[in-house]
Amino acid sequence: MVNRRALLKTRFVIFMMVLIFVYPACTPKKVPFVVVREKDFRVGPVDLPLQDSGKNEILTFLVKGGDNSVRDYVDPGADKAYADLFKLLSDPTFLYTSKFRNEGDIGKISKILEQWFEESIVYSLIDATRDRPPPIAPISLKDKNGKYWWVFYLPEEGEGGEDIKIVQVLVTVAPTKHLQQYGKIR
Amino acid sequence: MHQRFLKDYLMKAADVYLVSRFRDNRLKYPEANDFRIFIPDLHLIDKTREKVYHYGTNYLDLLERVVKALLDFKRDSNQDNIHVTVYQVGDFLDLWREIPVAFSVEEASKKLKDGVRKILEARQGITVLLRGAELKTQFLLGNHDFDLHYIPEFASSALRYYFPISVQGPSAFTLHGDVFDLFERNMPASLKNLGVYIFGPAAKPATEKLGEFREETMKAHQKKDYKEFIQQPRPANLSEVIPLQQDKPAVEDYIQGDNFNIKKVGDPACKEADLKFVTEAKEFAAMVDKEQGWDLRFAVIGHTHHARIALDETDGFFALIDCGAWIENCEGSGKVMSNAQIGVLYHNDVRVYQLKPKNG
Repeated sequence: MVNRRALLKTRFVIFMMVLIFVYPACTPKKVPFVVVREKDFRVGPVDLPLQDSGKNEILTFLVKGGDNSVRDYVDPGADKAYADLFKLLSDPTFLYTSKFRNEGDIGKISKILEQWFEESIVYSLIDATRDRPPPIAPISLKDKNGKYWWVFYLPEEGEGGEDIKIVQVLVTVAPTKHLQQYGKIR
Repeated sequence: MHQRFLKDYLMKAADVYLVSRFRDNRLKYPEANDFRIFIPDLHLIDKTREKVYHYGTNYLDLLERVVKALLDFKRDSNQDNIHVTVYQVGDFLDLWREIPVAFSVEEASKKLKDGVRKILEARQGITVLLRGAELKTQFLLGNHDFDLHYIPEFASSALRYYFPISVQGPSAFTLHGDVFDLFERNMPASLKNLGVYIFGPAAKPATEKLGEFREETMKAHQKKDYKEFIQQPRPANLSEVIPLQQDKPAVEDYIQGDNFNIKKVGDPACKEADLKFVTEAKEFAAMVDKEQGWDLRFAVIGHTHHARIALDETDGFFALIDCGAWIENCEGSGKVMSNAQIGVLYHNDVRVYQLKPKNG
């Protein structure tokens, strides 16, 4: 004789398991994206490897606190803070996706970049200054100071493969900054 | 240039009083094509919230007229190759009095963006003028509106500006000034916000717990009572002020020598309030100088709602220019007035003016 209670329990468990596994598949997903801001709040794209002129362009923008219209220093310590990053971006041997990313997880940055950027990489970009999205989205990294996104572009033609060159960089002010009110003075 | 600014622009918009003037090469600001104007704390809130406080932003109509005059001045000066930079020195909006503390991140985000929106729409006139693309006002973040940095449209707001950009390095900086206030630094932001929002209006605490909370808030804020005031329980004492006449715009016609109403460290006639933050600002400058290899000579702040120029010549030279506020009151030459001040800097000559509506 069939145990009716046990049968009902089994059916309930199966129903709940279906619900648990199907529900996430049906709900809308949130995919993070980066936006390229207005002209006053961005610099670039600047060609890589970084030359002196490109470095000065980016540094001026950072020293002005990410506002090209400002005539003053806002972040005078930017030169020191980003000196080693500029060195990396001037090195042609560094400018490959493999060097930017964690070997086991392409959603995370490589160790060498952890000094300047947050761990997660964002691959979606909205850039209204262009006619269309890039064929392969750039690698966008959030600056640890909370103020900027650094957008590293791949070439728009080529065969692809495991290791793709990084050819340009753009720096844009983040839509929302996360400032420390009484942080270290720079 | 100062005379032209006064006679052809500022005095057409307002009655002008000289609060303080300091002209000295030690400011190291000789730029002949660089004119800077500092608009202090405005503490704008929306009209509904304004009804529940015993104070509010003064002379909003006058403020709009003055900002329009600044725009005309900037436009005309551009043609003569003179750069005019306008700063708003923080506390543009008063988010502490507008928005209550929320108890979840989502609620806090919603209250912030809705609260900011309400104020900007209620104060559309001054907002459009100050934030317009032509004036390009450089905004500082104050303690009452620090959270604006979360709002994308306020991407340009900064904590500090150092200027001018030159080979020798800047000689000046401007910031709100709250960083010098120990009590602002030590109290958590949410507690400050709640204190101002709940205890601002004339409401008595309903429970014992709220009473204890109020005690802690009041203790930490040196017994400030937000029902009646933010910074100044009594009108800030400016000592002497001089009414300027439009047909006599040269301040030299009113004062002896280069300087007027300067508060000096070591002067027994000066009160504690006159010299507030001079030491802290000087130490701050020394810290930055050490890191950057600069030689900063003076700072421009708001925050205290007490317009003045203070000097420290005890060990080297440092000047603090406090450009006052457009909220609360002051007393000058025995007369109580609503605060409505601006700071002006050009060619080693810095001034603070008190304004009033014309014939008002």
